[in-house]
Amino acid sequence: MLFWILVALLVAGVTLAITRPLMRPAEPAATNVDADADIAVYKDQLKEIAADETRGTLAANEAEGARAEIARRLLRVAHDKPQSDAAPTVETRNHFILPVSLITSIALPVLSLGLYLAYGAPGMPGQPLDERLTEANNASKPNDLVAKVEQRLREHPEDGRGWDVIAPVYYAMGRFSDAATAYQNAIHLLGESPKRLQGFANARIRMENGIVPDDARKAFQRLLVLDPKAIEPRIWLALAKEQDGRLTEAAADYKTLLADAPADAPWRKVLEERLASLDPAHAAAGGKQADAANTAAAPSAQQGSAAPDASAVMSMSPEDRQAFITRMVDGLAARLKADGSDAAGWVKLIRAYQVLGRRDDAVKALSDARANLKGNQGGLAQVEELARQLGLGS
Amino acid sequence: MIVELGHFALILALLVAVVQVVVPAFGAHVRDERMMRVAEPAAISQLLLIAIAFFALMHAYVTSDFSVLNVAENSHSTKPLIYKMAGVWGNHEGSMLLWVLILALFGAAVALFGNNLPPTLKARVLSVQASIAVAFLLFSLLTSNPFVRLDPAPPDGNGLNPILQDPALAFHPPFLYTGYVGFSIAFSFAIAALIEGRIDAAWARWVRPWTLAAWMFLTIGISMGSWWAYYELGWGGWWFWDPVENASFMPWLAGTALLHSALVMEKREALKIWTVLLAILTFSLSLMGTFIVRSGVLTSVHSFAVDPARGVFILAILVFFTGGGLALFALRAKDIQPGGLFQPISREGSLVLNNLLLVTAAATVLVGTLYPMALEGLTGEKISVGPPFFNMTFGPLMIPLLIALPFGPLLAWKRGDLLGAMQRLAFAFLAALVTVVTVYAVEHRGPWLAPFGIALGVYVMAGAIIEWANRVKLGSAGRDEIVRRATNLPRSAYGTLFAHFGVGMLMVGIVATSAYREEHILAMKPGDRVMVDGYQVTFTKVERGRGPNYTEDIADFNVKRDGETVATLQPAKRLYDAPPQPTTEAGIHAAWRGDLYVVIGDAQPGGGYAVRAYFNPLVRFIWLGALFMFFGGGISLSDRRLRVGAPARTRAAMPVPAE
Repeated sequence: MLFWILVALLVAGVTLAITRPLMRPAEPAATNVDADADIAVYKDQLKEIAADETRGTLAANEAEGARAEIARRLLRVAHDKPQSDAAPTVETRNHFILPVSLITSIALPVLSLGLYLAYGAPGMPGQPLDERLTEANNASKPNDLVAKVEQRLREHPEDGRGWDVIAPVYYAMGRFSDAATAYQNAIHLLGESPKRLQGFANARIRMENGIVPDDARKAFQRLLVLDPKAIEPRIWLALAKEQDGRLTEAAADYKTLLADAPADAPWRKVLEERLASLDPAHAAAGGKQADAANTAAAPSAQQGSAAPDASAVMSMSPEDRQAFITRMVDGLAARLKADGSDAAGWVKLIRAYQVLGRRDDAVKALSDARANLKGNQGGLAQVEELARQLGLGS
Repeated sequence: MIVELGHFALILALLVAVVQVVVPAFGAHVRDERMMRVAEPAAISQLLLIAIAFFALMHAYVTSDFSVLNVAENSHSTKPLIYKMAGVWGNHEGSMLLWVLILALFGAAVALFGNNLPPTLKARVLSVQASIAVAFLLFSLLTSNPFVRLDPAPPDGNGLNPILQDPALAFHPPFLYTGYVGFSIAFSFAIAALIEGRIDAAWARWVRPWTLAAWMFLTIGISMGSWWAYYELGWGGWWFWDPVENASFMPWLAGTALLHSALVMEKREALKIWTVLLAILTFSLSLMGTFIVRSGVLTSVHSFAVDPARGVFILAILVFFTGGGLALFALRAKDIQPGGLFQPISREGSLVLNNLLLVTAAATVLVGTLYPMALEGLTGEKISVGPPFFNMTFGPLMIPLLIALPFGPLLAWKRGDLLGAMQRLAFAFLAALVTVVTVYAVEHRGPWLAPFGIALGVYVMAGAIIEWANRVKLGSAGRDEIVRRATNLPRSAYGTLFAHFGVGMLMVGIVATSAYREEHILAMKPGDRVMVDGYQVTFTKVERGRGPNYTEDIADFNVKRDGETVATLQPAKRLYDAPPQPTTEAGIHAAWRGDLYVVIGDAQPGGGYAVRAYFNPLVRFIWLGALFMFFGGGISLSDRRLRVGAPARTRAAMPVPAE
């Protein structure tokens, strides 16, 4: 309510102030005011010349010349004066006053309110952080609670429980870098636990867009020490080998894992797919569907019959390998062209272009990614982070 | 509620600006004094409304109201208060709001203090000024609205780029914008005069104070930016010919030319057409600068192409005002009566030379700035023009300008006496000669031209003093007479003295620091020492520290000269919390002879640190020179002459000392 009163006051005040000059009675033609301002300037200039002359900074003959010039200007202004007297009479001018005042005093309030209602967020209260923090105890908006915990952790960074609480929340919010730091702090303060190690490694992997970084590997290895039966660390470590290009070892690990796996394990399918992409012969035997990336690799599967080894790609001639990789990348590019909402895909594509030395394509993919991911803050952030890492300008 | 009130005020300001364009212009056309008078309350209301919007946004920043998208994207709850406030203009939307605020400020100033203007001219000036405001308010509301809300609000903001969290940079944009935008008044005056078809000496007198004020602020704004780059970027450099710097430097060069040509126009009514053209061009360069900085073409032509809404909008504004202004100029210029005549060797002649050189210099900077962008846009090729281009094109233009500078004020109007001026400058030539010999004697390294460059600066400084000495008859009159003359001298004469002296200092500083800087890049361990231009610099230790929103490694350097400790420098490397970005803080020991400048880099394997140590001789002269120019402008601005020309009643009330 107060808001609308203030708005009304603002509009009324401004409208009144602006239309006030129009409301006054017309003065009789004051047309030579313009010339008066000029005359005032020239008279001042004459005085300055006199002052300079007494000061001795202007020679007498120069002063005389300057005076004559200014006098000519004065004469010209006086001569022009009658011209400007040819102004419309007060009556003709009055024709315009009423419509102008009416239009102004109607348009200002109507249009300003109309535009504001169209573009503004009327009735939405301000949300200063302090208020939200004190309210956070009652109303439990997740964002406010996070803000409150963050505030506490800034004051008490030694509070391991706080880090433990906020880490999974960060992860769920997609703030992987913050999540990794929080898990790390919790581990540091409260010691290792399977949950924390797992959380840390997952956050790191998400930060690196699916690549398993060194610290995540170490965390998984520690986790295996704590819990030798855990399956997930073994899967990730195998994947890490694949990412290193140690394809035979990775395939062997996948096979061991599959052998150990219960028939109904949900991760069986993932393992089979990975294995299929590494070992075409196994894929044919298993008759499993390959995923989208592997469809792009189909030509190599045909070649693969001649070279059934798992490291088919590695053993190709450099030209063939280049062609294979290009096909993969182009396949990914085509897929993203059709559906550009996959942030991870964009990251993969940009990185691939960069690795292949196709910098122009990388820059282009970056701008396409930005265009496609508009509105997807998390995805956009991933792409921007990568762009910064790769120094692709911004 | 306050945020929403700000949004509403901004919309209302747009409508008020529209009224301010239409009604006074129409009133001036039909010669109705009442409609013309609408301009004044409109200009003042516009200022108040934009100020409400601006402070509403600032309030949102200070209270960390992350329900405002702009705040969430650019602020953070842990930022110190001063940077929360400065954060308002540390981003695109907020800085455009500051832009229109300053635009409105100048409009309101003309409305309030322009009592000496002829009413029709004033109405037209305010109308043109408001048309610029309409364009930029539309731009702000349609493409860069700072009041977009976010629901639910995020827990914290993204933070301000740490490199911008610095006092000099926090207050650099307001000064810079005041300069940029101030030239809009000169533009409005030019357009109003062209519409009116009446351009005379009085016009120049009305324009000069506004141009001078804009020029002053631009001068200080640019030098603050350069000062910041010097101590924050950690490379010891102070000017990089970066497109952002050039964007502000071009209007400065054109504005300096305008300042001088308006002087000729006021005194002699000569150069009328040229001055009007220059007024249009100066503001066009300001708009171009805004386009370069604000459209996104800078970061990359590609990202510009991805989100062209903003860039195209500013481009349209640029084309409309530049194109419209020039078209009107072409239409009306032939009607302008030629003014006073003068010989080539005269005060006017020297100012024409000044104008030609400054405008050519502005053109070279323009080419050097736009060519790489155009090339990238057309062919995708990225080239960098960089200092060598500017040193080869811009440098040689400055030499004749500086040689001619002291002559200008010594030459008489209409027909000057070159020989007489040279005689009077004999002392300056002598000072220059002594400088060349001394510098050669002291410094054996560096380019052979450098002593001449320093001498040129000294010559300009001496020339400025000679001009003053000449006016007070120093050496030929008695002491009382000299004091009397010195106190009676118009303030604008002191303005000239200070500004020209500052130019000389600037030149000395630039040449000395570019030619004779000493640079050491090395890996140092605690306990290591290095000799830098007579200073013994010992690296003592590195400590970890924690600031309000960053952690830092602070190094400790003990600086000795002739065995005595003169300073302890503490350069630091900071890592900000949000966003996590590193910045460097240089440790600087400033003395008259130059700055000792130490920066600490990354830790090296084996316990050492990368350290860069510089000695920048006379580098302070650069900013001192700029300060002198600023104060010179201020003294001139306080001169009665630039303010009067007022209607009779105020004139009578004003005391007229010693006249």
